[in-house]
Amino acid sequence: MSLTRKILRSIVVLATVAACMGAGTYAAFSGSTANAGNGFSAGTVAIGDNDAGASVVSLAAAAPGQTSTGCIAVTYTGSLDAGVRLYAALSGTLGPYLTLTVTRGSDPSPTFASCAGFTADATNYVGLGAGVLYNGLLSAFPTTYAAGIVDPVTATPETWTTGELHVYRFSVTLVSDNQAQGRTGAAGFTWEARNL
Amino acid sequence: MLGAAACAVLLLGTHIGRPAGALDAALTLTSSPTGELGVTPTGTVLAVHNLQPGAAPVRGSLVVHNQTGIPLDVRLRARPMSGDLDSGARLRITAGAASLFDATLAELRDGTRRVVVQPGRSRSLGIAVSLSPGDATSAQGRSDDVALELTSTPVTPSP
Repeated sequence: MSLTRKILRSIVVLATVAACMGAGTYAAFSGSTANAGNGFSAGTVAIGDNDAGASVVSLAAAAPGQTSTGCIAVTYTGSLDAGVRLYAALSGTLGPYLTLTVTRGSDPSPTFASCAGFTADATNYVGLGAGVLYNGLLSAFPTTYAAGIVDPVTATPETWTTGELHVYRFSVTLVSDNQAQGRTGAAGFTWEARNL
Repeated sequence: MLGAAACAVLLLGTHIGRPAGALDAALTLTSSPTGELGVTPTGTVLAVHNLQPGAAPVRGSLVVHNQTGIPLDVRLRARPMSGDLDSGARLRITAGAASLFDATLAELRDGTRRVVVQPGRSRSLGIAVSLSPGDATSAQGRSDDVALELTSTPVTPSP
């Protein structure tokens, strides 16, 4: 539609409305109806865990072969369906000497960082065993959302919905390598949800 | 004559309790878990469609589970969608014999008193909803959906 035509039609509509308004002004009776209280709200994407600020695994002055295992429950609390990826922020120089296994599963009554009630998912997502999402050196763990582990790694990524909870078991082992002596390192893991 | 009187009494009784044409109020309470707290049920906790002023409270319950490894102070607060029943609806929330809250829906926006939930343990919270007896007209026909938001903080030792 050209601009000229748009303007013309607007004028016609305004004239009609004005005529109706005039009729209302001069009428002896009036009535009205209203529809109030129309609510609007935007959806949310929110995800939380049960660590209360504590670390899920830790090794202190570890000897070769020493392992630390812990479980963390992750809950989706947003209102919009979302996909989730897991990645890490790594620091220090010990990463190449630590092996990490991350296994997804469930726990009917999770309590950080206990794995007492943990049951691994039955699905062999990436060919590493039931529920296993990652098994390798900590230093090789993805460190960005783009490269992050799609949860879970299957042909169809999981769609997280409100109230959905999954438990992740982390197991870290110091490898037997003389080069690891005296080194330190740290890792922070992030589950990032983005609406689909 | 006696029959007519009985009929009149019956009609009066009906009208005193509930004015003809009066619309009930409706209130739905929902809850959802946080990362630190599990909750049962998720979604609708209580859906009341026939709230009447002065009628007996409608009761429900909510179980909160501390999923962390530390004791938590847990509070509930209301997030009403419309606010239409803020002054008319009255809620009482209990944890066992302890009263955590007993006031209007509007005041529940500020939250309940805290209840301590130990790590790995659950607490059942009782919820009773009623309409204030004197709110026969302002709450009539109104409804609201209220999200009960759970918040938690680590228990701080008493000084």
